[in-house]
Amino acid sequence: MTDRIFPYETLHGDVRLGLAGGGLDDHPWPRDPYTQDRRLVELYDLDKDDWRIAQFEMDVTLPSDELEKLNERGADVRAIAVVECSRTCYRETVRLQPSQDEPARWTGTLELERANFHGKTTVHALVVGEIDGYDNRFLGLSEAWALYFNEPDVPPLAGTMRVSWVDFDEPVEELRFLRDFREHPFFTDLQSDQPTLFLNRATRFEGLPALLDDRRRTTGERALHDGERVSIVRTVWMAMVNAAIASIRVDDDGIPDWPVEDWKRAVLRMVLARVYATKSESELLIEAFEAWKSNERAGELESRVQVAIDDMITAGKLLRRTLDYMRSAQS
Amino acid sequence: MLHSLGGLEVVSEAEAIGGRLKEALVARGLTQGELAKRLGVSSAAVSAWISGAKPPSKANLAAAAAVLHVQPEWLLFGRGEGPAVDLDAERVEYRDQVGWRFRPAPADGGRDYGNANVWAFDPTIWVMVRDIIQNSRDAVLMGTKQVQVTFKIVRLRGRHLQEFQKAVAWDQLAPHLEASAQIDQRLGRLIKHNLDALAEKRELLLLVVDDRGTSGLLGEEDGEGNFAALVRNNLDSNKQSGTAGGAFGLGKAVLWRMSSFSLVLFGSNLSVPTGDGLRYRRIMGRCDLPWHGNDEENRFAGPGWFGRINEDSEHGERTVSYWDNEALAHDLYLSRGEDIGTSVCIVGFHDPSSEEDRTPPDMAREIKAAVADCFWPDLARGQLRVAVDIYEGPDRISGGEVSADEYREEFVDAFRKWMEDEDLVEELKRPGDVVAVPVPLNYPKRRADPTHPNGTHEAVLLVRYAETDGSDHSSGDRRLNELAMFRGVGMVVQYLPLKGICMGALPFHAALLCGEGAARPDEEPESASREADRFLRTAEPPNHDRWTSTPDLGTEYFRPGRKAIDDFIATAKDMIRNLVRPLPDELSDGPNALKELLKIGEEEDVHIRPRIHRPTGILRDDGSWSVSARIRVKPGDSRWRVQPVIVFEQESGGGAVVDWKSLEPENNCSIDESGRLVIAPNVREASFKGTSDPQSHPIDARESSITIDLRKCELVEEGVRA
Repeated sequence: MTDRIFPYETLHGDVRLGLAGGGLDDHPWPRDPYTQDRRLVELYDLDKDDWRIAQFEMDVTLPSDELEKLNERGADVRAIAVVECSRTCYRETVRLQPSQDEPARWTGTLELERANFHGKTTVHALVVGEIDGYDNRFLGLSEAWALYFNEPDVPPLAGTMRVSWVDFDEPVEELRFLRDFREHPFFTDLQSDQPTLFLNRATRFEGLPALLDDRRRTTGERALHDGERVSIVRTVWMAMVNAAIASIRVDDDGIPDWPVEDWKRAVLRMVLARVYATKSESELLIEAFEAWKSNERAGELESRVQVAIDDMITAGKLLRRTLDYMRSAQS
Repeated sequence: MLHSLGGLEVVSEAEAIGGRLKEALVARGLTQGELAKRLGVSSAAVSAWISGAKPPSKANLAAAAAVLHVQPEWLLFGRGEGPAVDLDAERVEYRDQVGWRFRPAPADGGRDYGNANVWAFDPTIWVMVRDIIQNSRDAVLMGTKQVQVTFKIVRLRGRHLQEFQKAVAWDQLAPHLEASAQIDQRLGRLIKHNLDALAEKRELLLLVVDDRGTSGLLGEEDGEGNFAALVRNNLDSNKQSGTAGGAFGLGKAVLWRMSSFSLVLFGSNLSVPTGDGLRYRRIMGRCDLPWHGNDEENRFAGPGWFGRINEDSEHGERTVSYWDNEALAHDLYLSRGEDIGTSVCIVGFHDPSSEEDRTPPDMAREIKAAVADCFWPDLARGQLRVAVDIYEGPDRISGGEVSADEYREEFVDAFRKWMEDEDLVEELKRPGDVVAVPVPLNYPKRRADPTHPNGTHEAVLLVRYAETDGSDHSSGDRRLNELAMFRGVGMVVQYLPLKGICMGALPFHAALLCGEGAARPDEEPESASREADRFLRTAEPPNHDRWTSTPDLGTEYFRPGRKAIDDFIATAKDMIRNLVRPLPDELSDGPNALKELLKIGEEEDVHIRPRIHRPTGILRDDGSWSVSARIRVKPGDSRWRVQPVIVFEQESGGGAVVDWKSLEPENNCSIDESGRLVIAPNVREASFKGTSDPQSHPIDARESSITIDLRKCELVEEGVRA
């Protein structure tokens, strides 16, 4: 969160939102969906497919001394849970009930109907109160929880794109489309919800696993290995950036906004931060979008994106290493 | 065994001598008065010897040994020749005196069709084993380092069956069993079926459980004491020790449930003699039948007791404990010499959870597996030893000691590594690795003792990387990917299945050592550990099979008790998840060489542009914002030119930029003619302050929050001066 400044005093200490317990359709969880330390709830792959409503017990706590001061000023402090899903444009607020026993604690139950959500949904707690005659003023915000109704674009705990070996000649039914690319050593799938790099392990490319897999190599093999992997990865990144830029949304006033999919936002942030190192976040998105639309500047953007990607994948370093190998092999 | 008495004293030497004197008297068929006469001492003196109040002098001891036909060393130390017991004589004696008495039906005509407690349990061998050993652990004598429990499955046929039935006065019991079998109700039907089976097969199984190192069945016939609690009363746990397992007295019901005839016999040698100085071979039985009766005259409320038929003014005719008859103990398979502790004999032992008749070796295996499953911590610590044997009549056929390693090898391995503080690692890299991490438990304040504060206990979490052959068909047997939780008692309260704790997790076994269980064997538990132990025990329901909200938790502790437990277990699970979480490269099968170059998501800050740091602002009376902020810069030779702006935040979009009424550089910067700040080279930080122009505000400043941002950042070319 940026450092917002308010025309009145807000909470300095942490607002904490806990999610725990609950279950599916009034039954306990078939498997524990929580990763508490990352505020993560995985609602896909629950060993139950036909559920309708997920329930959670919420718990919000504030620094009690600060709350006391606010209450002395008659702030009538309340805690509200805010649920937002960018994919479905869903937003809901739930008022929490003050705890009878602890003054700085609120509790409540959150019920989310599955049909309203797709992909990542966030839940955070908002604390509001009446300040200087204005009601519902912002006083504090908790860190957000991420609830994944579908498998996330990029595994939230691993942070790397999926890379899978598949025999493109005989793929499983759901990867049937790979048959169309059986003449190619790899295919970057950016259509489905999870971007995946498929590597072809068909006999046609018999040496490919040996070339790419992780093992000790001789100097010559090493050079080939680095060369091939940089070439593949560069192509993949370029495809991802193009897909991400194409997904930039424009609101009614013509102002661009970040793409909906998490991985596209992440890719753009990573690449554009390098392309436009001096720009603020809002500036660089506008800049990139304008350049992409423009006939003259699109090429320049492409070139600068390539440089940024090479920078990220340390292509220069890998090439220098290869050159060193070759030099030492010759001497 | 079964139920403890807090604050026990270990038997004194004088008491031990008294016990043996008494035994020898019984064996010779002499009274205390007769012995006194022969030795020329007062009856009071003999009485004092026997009660242990005062030991006999050396001369009197030698004389008594001669009269009683035992060696003096035996009287003194229990070594050497003891009294030769004439079993036949004793047999004649007890047969006239033992029998069954059933509680008469109440005058109000109420019919109680059985003890509801009996049905409150999931009747499996696993539950029975757990309960029996748990109770033995609770009854452990102070100063005892090890409890020993022996399970004997005894098959009775032919002569052995007849002798047993004769000893237990089956002819008196049978009419009651048959009357109960007429009742078309759950227990009645069960007894009918089992009576038919007995008549057909002429075979009876006993399960005899002996324990050693425990207090024995203490106390008088009625009232307080664990004897009355176990044998006479319902729903009486008689637990006084602060860390004892049971709290409701339900546990014992499982014993009767495992009997085909709801019949359980007890034999015990007591650590503390009764008020009458009685101590050895206490025998009594109880048969928990439903209301039954064959005719108007003979109607019975249900339960009946086996023992000495006694008549006194207070109780009328009833059965009481039969003491000091070795023949009776022997014939009922309850003989245990002079070892302190208790033997329980479940008559017509069966597995009510199985449709099939199970063989003794099959049930013995299940008992062993259950012992190891529930008590591996205690077995591994050497605080518990358990043997399971199979007998044909009085002859031992096979058996042996339970080894925790055989059934729970992985958990025991992790536990040993922790106990010895050796071979522990920081992270799980290869199968067999064990990590130990602390897990905080914040236990609340006690209501019962309000001066006692809440506190934090550090439990120990052990996680072991499991060896697997890739398949998990055996995971159910090995409790793969499960978390075993236990406290000081050393009994696993619950196994939490955590399969799928996160995608692609490493296979593991985990254990959570709580309360006094988190102290190494040579360590004295801290007070926080003891408090946590007490708290968790209070959170155990009657089955002791999890930690949750119990009525006691609500009455004994301030809130939030349940939440403290939930948080504790959630924290432990998070820690496990972190430990078994796959490395990113294990997520998909592609080469790391590619994946390491395809990381998407958070990375270190790559921005080189200056950033606003610690902005502050005050709304002034004239409606303007007065702000100040620092600017963080990556130091370099070049200068940055930046435009600070105040932005009125909006629900969506970039917000509205307002004009400065004044903008003043403070440190390490200057202002140029275009109104931008130029930051000096080679500094890390600059600062400025300014005031907004209220005329440019889109709305009343009191109604919006603001942010301060830097726009139009650029590096100033060399030679250009501010």
